Amino acid sequence: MGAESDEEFRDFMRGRWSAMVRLAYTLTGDQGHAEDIAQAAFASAYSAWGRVRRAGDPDAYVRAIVVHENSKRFRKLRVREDLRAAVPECGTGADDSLADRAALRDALSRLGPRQRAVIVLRFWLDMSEAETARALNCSVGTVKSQTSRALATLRKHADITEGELR
Amino acid sequence: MTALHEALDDIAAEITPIDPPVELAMRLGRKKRHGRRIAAITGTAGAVALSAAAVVGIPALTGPASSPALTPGTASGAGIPLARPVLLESPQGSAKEYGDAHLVNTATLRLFQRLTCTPVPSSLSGAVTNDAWKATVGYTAAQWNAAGSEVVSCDASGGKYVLGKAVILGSQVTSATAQHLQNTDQWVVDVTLNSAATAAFAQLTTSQATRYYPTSQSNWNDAVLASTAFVINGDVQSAPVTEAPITIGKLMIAGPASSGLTEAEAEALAAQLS
Repeated sequence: MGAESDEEFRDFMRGRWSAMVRLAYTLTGDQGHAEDIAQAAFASAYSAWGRVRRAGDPDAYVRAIVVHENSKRFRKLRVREDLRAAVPECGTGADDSLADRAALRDALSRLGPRQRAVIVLRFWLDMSEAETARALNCSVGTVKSQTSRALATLRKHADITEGELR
Repeated sequence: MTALHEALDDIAAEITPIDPPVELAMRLGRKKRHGRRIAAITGTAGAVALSAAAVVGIPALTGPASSPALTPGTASGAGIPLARPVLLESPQGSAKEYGDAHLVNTATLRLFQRLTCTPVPSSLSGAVTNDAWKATVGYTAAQWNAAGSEVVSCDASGGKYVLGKAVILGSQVTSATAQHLQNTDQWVVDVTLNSAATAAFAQLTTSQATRYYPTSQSNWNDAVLASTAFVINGDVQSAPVTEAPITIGKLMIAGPASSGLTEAEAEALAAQLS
């Protein structure tokens, strides 16, 4: 692999590192874990960099690996982690929408890793049900059922209506 | 912008990522490239998976059996499907050994040092490995298929191995069937082991997952000791790393995440194993 393509990879990773760590963090809720996942994903991209850059969308490649690496947690271990032990502080009530968002964040932390992944992919990355199913290597039916269960949990804990949720 | 989207934005903004570890990622990436045949054993919901990027050697399985003297013609069927590599000399770069030479007996170590493994050119899709190495070793078919001893072996990329005693024999596979992986264009092989093999594999993978896997990313010796080799006709097909204990006796063999196995490759592999 030439020095030129190495330089391209460096530029790519410097430019996209933060975004990938943040994506991994929304999925895992743990910064250290998020950085490990992002690093593994960029290492994968570099290991096949020739092919990845020829394919033209290295961002999508790395993102897919981040999602996949995260999925390993719930495929491999049937243990539900408490994703975020600390409950985020709520607003003082001065601003309703801020308080709602804090409640929602708290409620998100109660989801299991699989439901959380479905929510992040569907509502943050704006993927379709089919895209989400492909990314998580499960059926569309599973995406639907996990989404509706996750939304039910969010509604219960965040005390908000369906309309406000999406 | 929905409330949910905003809440997720907030979560993403909670952290300040460290500076990008570019050089480290590149170093890991290079290692990965060179050690590509070592992939991972992962579980799936319900079942457990032996996902092997390593099964890259598989296209060759559809080719003719290249070494009649070593084709497993004995009652054990598919020979030795799974054994644990204890020493590996990677074909790329320096002739450095990884694993633990202390686990290898003197005679086998001498054989290992004498052995030359030649990579099969990637353009040559018919043959599994360059079988010239088998003459150096001089094992008989019965020796390949024996459960009790260490053997040396090569893979298609020229990797050189000492394999520990076989953990599972072909005769202990109760079923191997090709399956289409839902929502993908990939095929996998579902393998079910008999109870003796299930127990042996559980013991091996539990010890690998706890002792070697946690450090396998940074320690190449441990990566070798955490892996399990698939052997067909004496050749190492793949040597995936065990990420988690596999205790229920069900494995799934998948191709590399990027390309996977085709239907024909999966059928051929299933036929070899059952």
